[in-house]
Amino acid sequence: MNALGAVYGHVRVATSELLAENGAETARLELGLQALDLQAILEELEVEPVYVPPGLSAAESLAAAADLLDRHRAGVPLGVWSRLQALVAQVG
Amino acid sequence: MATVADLLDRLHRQAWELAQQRVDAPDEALGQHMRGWVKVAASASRALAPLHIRRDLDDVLDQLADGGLASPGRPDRRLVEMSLTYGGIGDLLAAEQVHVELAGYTSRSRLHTSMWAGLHTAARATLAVAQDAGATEPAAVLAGLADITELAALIPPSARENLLDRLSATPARDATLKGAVDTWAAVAGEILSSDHQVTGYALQRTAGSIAMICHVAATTTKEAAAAGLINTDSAHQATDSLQQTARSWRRAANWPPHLRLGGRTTELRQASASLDRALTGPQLAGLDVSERLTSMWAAVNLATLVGDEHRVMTSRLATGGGLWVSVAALPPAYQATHPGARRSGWVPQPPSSTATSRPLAIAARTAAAALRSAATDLDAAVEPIQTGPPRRVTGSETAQAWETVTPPTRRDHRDLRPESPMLPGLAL
Repeated sequence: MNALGAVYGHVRVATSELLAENGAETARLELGLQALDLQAILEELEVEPVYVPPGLSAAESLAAAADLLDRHRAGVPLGVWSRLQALVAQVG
Repeated sequence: MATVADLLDRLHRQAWELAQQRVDAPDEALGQHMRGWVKVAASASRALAPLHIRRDLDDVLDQLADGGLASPGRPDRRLVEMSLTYGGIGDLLAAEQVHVELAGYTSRSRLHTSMWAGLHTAARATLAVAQDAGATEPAAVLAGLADITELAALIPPSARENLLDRLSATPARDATLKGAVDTWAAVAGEILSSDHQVTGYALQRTAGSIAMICHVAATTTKEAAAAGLINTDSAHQATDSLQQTARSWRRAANWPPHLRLGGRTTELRQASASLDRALTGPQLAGLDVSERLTSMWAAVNLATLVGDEHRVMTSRLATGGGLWVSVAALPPAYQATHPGARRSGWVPQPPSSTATSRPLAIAARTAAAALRSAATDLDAAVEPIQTGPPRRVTGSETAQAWETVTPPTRRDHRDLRPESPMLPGLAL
């Protein structure tokens, strides 16, 4: 589950980046809320996040998280996988 | 589903029919009327009480409701029907207590006036019967009731229309926008007021949901102005205010990655997702513009309550060391004095190291204040929406002849004394 902890850390950074964009449109806000919901699901799975320092963009952070999941498919709940993939597609 | 406006229309129609009656046997008719007034007075008292406008009718209504002026027997059918209508209004107001309290003095005063107009017309009808019958005591009581309520009955119906007219008996279900907002507000309010249930997700997600509500409310207000339903100046102010408030809540939702407060908040996640669907999906789009605006007005008002809970909890956690912080983000001195702490782990935030969390409290306070202000601006913008068919509103039309008293602020109206001497007709 350490991989999931790292995924969680990347999603936290991506969430912060998405919410930091302060435009008038709601699309990025909606994506930020979806990323928050993914964090809540990881909490429900009792995953402890690894601290990932800010620095990457939202798309880069989500790509890093997706890459980690891809390398640890065996231990990854499908619901987490599908939600992350949806976010990667929308943010990218 | 019936709205308050529907019930008021029915009430006034019933009172009108009562006033049109021709009585051949006044003694017999008076007995039936006075028995009918037992029911009307009781249900009208219950419907008027939550509005907190005037209580100077209480003694008269109590006297009629206690049955001292009525003899046993069958009550007048039309007065019984009026009592049922007052009962329906009372039930609706009781079920929507939060919206009633937040509606503002002007709306509550206008609704109060509409109900008094019905009482006045019915009292005049019974007074005529009592005078024909030579019954001095019932005549005196009903003359008193008619006198007190006369001014309300002289106000044109269009000047009595108000936001509360649109409250409906629609059951709260998640499938409706109202149901989704009510459920979200209830779940969020409970979690944000509990030290044991609150999580970082709850605080961030609630702030984000409020931002979304403000965004949608701003867009809807702009559409209503473009459609000519509301004054463009007040709509512009409300839209700007809501958009700024959305940005404030978005900032409040954005926590730095080195702070967290873990835990499960499944119910809020589900309620928040339902709210998102209701705000951005076909439920809202399927309503006409005035219905959408009224729905978003209600959502913004509920959000102010949730926002206040958010502000209080965030302040406590962010300034009192209630969050968890990444060891890696703490100063090297901490790691030096706590050799057992894993650098990759999380520890309770030392109360002495809240410098990075304090901005969260400031952001929440700023956002909550902005939301209260935006809700007031939205109240002013939405006020001219009438219960009738949509029509174009010009700037001069919104300066209504009855607008002679500034209503109390959102916070102050709860402190209104029941014996407030303000006449409803003059307070519009």
